[in-house]
Amino acid sequence: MTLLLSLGLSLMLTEFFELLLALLFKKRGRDLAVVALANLLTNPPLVFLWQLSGKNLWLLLAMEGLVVLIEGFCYQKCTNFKRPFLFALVCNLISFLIGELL
Amino acid sequence: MKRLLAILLIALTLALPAAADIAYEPPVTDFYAAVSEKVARIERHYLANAEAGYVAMREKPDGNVLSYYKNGEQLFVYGSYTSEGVLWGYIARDQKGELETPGWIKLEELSLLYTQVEFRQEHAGEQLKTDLSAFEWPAETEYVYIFEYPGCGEAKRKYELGGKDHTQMGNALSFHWKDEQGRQWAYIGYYMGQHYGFICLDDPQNPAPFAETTPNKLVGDVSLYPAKEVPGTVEAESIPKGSLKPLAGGLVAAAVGIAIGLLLAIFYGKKKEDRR
Repeated sequence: MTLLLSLGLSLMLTEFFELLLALLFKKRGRDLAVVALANLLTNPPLVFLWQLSGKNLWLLLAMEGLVVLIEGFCYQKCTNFKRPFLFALVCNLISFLIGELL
Repeated sequence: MKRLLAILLIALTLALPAAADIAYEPPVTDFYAAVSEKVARIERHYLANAEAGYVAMREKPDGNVLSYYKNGEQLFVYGSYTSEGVLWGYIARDQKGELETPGWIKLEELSLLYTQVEFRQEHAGEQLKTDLSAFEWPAETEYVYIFEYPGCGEAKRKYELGGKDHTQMGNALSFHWKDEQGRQWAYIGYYMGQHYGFICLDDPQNPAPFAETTPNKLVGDVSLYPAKEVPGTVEAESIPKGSLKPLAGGLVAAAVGIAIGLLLAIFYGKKKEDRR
């Protein structure tokens, strides 16, 4: 799969699943925009660096941890989520597992 | 304590020669990692040779195509793996060098290159029973050309002799053989790095000792199918590999920039609301 296709597809799938999860967690309006933007901030660099590393699993796991922290920070500052880091962790864990299954 | 140190020293000494002989390890993909225990080592060079005129390298057997190679392109096959009765070769390097993302090609679409291995098998009966261990180069020899086998075409390496003691080089020489013109050749094995190949002992500084050569000779009675243009993907034909990286990097940077800008706008908007 080409790098560009991989970046685009990964972003689309992540946005889809994480927005779906946000809706399930009853997030609406501006909160959904923050979720979408947090994923736009973290997903493309993660996929890009992972592809450049030759798909190193340990690097992916380390970067996923960093992504949870960054997204959690975004939710903490830009939304009124009660547990922003937990929300980020759950969303990323689920989308990561779905990604692995696909 | 002294005994412990002695044991450690012995262990270290034993470990050093082993480290010098570390085997080649190919780049690892997810699929390779999953099946590596079932991969049989080959470590040989092949030429792409399919009836279609090109071969497809896939991310895994029957997976997505990573790239195409025209017939005649040289590929290094690290090992083979059987998937659903079909033998696939794990391609670790192409003509440009080590692959960033190795892939799999059906072995039936590749033809094994003739090398020193086959040459030594083919000419085993013609070997001269000479002891070459005391062999020394004439004083005026500055460098030697190392060939895959006599008559292969271009030398694989020019090895400079200067500045080093080569009195032990004879120990690395074997397979003493004479060509039709009476020139002596010897096979050099592991010596000061990897120099596997043949040296013309009588004319070591000649880069082209044969007027007629057969480069890219294949093993067995095999000939190359005509090469054809690979499928008309933009990637495969017009854009050299790797050139998408700057574009992808730029898009990633743009995405990050846009996301940060909009998140900051939301953050300050929320701050204002919270103050009210």
